[in-house]
Amino acid sequence: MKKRVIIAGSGGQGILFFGQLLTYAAMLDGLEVTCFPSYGAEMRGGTANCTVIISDSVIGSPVIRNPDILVVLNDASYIRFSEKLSSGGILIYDSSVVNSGVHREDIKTIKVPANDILSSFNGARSANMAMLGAFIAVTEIVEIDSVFRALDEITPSRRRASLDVNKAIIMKGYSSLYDVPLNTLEGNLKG
Amino acid sequence: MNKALMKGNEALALAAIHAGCKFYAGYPITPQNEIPEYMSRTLPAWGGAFVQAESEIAAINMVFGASACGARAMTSSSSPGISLKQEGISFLAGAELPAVIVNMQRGGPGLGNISASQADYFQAVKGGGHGDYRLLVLAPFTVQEIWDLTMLAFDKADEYRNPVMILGDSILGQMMEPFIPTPYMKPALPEKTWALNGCAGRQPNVVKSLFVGEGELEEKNYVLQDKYRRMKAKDVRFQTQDIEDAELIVVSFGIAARISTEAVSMLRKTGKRVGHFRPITLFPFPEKQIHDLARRGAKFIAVELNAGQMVEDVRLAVNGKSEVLFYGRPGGGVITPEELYDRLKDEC
Repeated sequence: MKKRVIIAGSGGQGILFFGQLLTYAAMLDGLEVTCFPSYGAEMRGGTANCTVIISDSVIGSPVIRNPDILVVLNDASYIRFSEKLSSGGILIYDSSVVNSGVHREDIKTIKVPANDILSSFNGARSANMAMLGAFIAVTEIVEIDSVFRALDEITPSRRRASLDVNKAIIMKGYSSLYDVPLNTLEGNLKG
Repeated sequence: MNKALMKGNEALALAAIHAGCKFYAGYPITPQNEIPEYMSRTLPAWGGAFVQAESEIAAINMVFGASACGARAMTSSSSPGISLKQEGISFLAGAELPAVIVNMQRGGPGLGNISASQADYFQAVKGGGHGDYRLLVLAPFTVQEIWDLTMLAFDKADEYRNPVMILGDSILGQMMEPFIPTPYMKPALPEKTWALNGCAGRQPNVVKSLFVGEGELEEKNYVLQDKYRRMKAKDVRFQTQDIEDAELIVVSFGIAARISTEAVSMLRKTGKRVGHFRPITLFPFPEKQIHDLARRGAKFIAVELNAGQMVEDVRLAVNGKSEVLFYGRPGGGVITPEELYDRLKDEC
């Protein structure tokens, strides 16, 4: 098993945090993983992207041309990366903000209405967490419990207040695409 | 032991602290800023001193001062900043002072760009400053190896009383990867009896790189050359993959080695007799090992993120015994495994 993932959006959307959580969760699941962020001459409002490779054997190059799974959180990234997705790949995008029309017959497309998912969270703006939940449900590469543990371990102490909200948003994004009764999962989460 | 997840730059900084680094000075430059950032936050809590210097030149000379006083000292930068440090590096080598110098390479020449590059190979292994000196140069290729080799760098610097360079690149510095943060085990090393740490009850020590007496500098150079010979005899490090029956051997280091091992594995699956040779020390270069493989008839191809630098050392090692080819991309161009596969498939 080897999955090459690119997560892309704009600076400030939490693209790198998505990548870091996914990477940490894969590590907890005992998988090999690399995470290479875009960096440097980027700025707030500029593009941000992150390449995560998850495998059950040693990973060579951490940089790739064509991902198997593409997660996009804005129009610019949709336009920039959707043609690079491997044939047979999965495109997961935030349908609340992405309006561009790139149509490919050879890929699987998953629309995630992140704004709808966030609407019950009283002003929360963590579209990245909603997308991460959907990503886990669609790809089944990492365990959702590992993602929660990763969140526990890497959330900085000054952001502890956001922890439970982020977990709930991940869970709602997950449930929106996975055939599990939401109430049951939320019950587990609180327990 | 639990794994840790950090950027290469952060793992390097933490490994240095664990290895007893007590002084860091540097000046910011992408793509290595996580090193000074981490040092500024963490080193003081471990009883060390962090200085953001006014320039790269000031930073390397502060490292000279700290090292002369007996402290384990480090500086880091990226290509243009390392060029600025060359005078200080030559002085460290001349004064026989240990120090660890990190170069997370970016594209050049000039200010270049911030993409990954290996175009500072010549500068690192041939002595970018003036005079007949060498650095011991370590080229990690995973975050695990960044951790391990950073610790080794401090030990080797003290053992040889010589600056050691860690040659990385922007991908290795920026990428995150799980690694096992193995505890630092300090080997037996000679006392720093030469250090300037107070001379009450003993003759004062002198640390200098100026030797103007009759024949004095020539003698000093023989001492240095003897040291470099000892490095060659004792500290050559390398790793191989599938070389036993290989007709074509890819030689690459650092990030290019990660790209190469993937291309080699792809070729092996199609039945091609191809292998990989990865120098871990760039100086001392594994010349004998490569020469022996050449005598067996293997053909070589050096793969580098530059216009062809290490390939010259491969050619010297092979010394006409077999063919040596080159594939590379300069200016921050990053080779993909698929691209390298295409280049190699007709050579074997």
